[in-house]
Amino acid sequence: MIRIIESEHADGRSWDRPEMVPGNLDRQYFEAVAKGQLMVQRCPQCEHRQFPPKLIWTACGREPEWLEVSGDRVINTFTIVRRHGVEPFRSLAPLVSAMVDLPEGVRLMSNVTGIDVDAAQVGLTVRAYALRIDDSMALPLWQPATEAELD
Amino acid sequence: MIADPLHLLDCCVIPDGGAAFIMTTEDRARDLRQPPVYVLGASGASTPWHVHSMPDFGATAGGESSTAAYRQAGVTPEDIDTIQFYDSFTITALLLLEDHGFCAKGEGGAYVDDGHLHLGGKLPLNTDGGGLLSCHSGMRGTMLITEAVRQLRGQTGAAQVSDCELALAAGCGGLLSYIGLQFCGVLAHDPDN
Repeated sequence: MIRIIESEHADGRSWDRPEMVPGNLDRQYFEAVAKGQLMVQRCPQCEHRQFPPKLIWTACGREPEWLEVSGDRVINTFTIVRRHGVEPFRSLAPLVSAMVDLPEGVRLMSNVTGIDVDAAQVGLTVRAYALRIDDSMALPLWQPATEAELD
Repeated sequence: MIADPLHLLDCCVIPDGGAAFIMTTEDRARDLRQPPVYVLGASGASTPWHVHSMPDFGATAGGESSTAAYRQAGVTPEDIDTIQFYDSFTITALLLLEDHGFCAKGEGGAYVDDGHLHLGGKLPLNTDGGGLLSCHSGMRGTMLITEAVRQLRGQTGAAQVSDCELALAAGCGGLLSYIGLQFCGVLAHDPDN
């Protein structure tokens, strides 16, 4: 399970990023996040995993199943977005946009928050959490974690 | 700094602009006012559209598409006189240089430092200034082709590549500037002119 926070703002105001209107499959993903579950897809036959969610498994054409993952892992690579043209991201910059390799064999991309951006580095251990979008959906993000927290 | 390690001048500014070209048969082209330019080879290839799904973070689909286009045209990278590459960011052109066989993987930076891409060098790049210096209208790929055609016709004035007989234009696109599709055209001047 991953921790859910209701707002990324100190004053508690609700989701003010662009409206999210996912299709059916992506909606299942974001709804699971709102329940504290970070999900990737697993093939029931060949055990391979894939992300982002797709209707079929790209290797063998079968229908994938959901697999809950921990979300704990290390930064594979990242950039620091220091200038952004539109709100609310303009006010959120500088922000770390990172790719994270999960032990389950998939790579996800999201922001790492709660960090001095200049302290971000490849190999940094991070832990997933969820930011509330609305009553049914949440967005997974990462924050730095200690090795002890992951054990 | 815009997004590490890309500084202001590593990123295209998106302005208004446009370009167009006419494709027709060889017979019709001969009767038109402008000298024809021939497409000798073309190919497209794609890799997964999400940057986190790329099997190799440092490789584009350019390796696959350029191999096919070179084979179709019967040429090698050494035969090319000028290249027009999509350059949304400086890293884009570096990756395309490597993936189209002009230098080894990871050696794009050193290749640029050696001065090959300047006018007068062995492989002048983006002689109209490219997206970084002239215009990125959101339809930059069309401008790659029009500039290659102008070079092959000898119509680029002070930016003219001498003895320009073979040009390569390659564009790419994808979500968030991830390279998802390549078009590679090898163009040549009219062999009868």
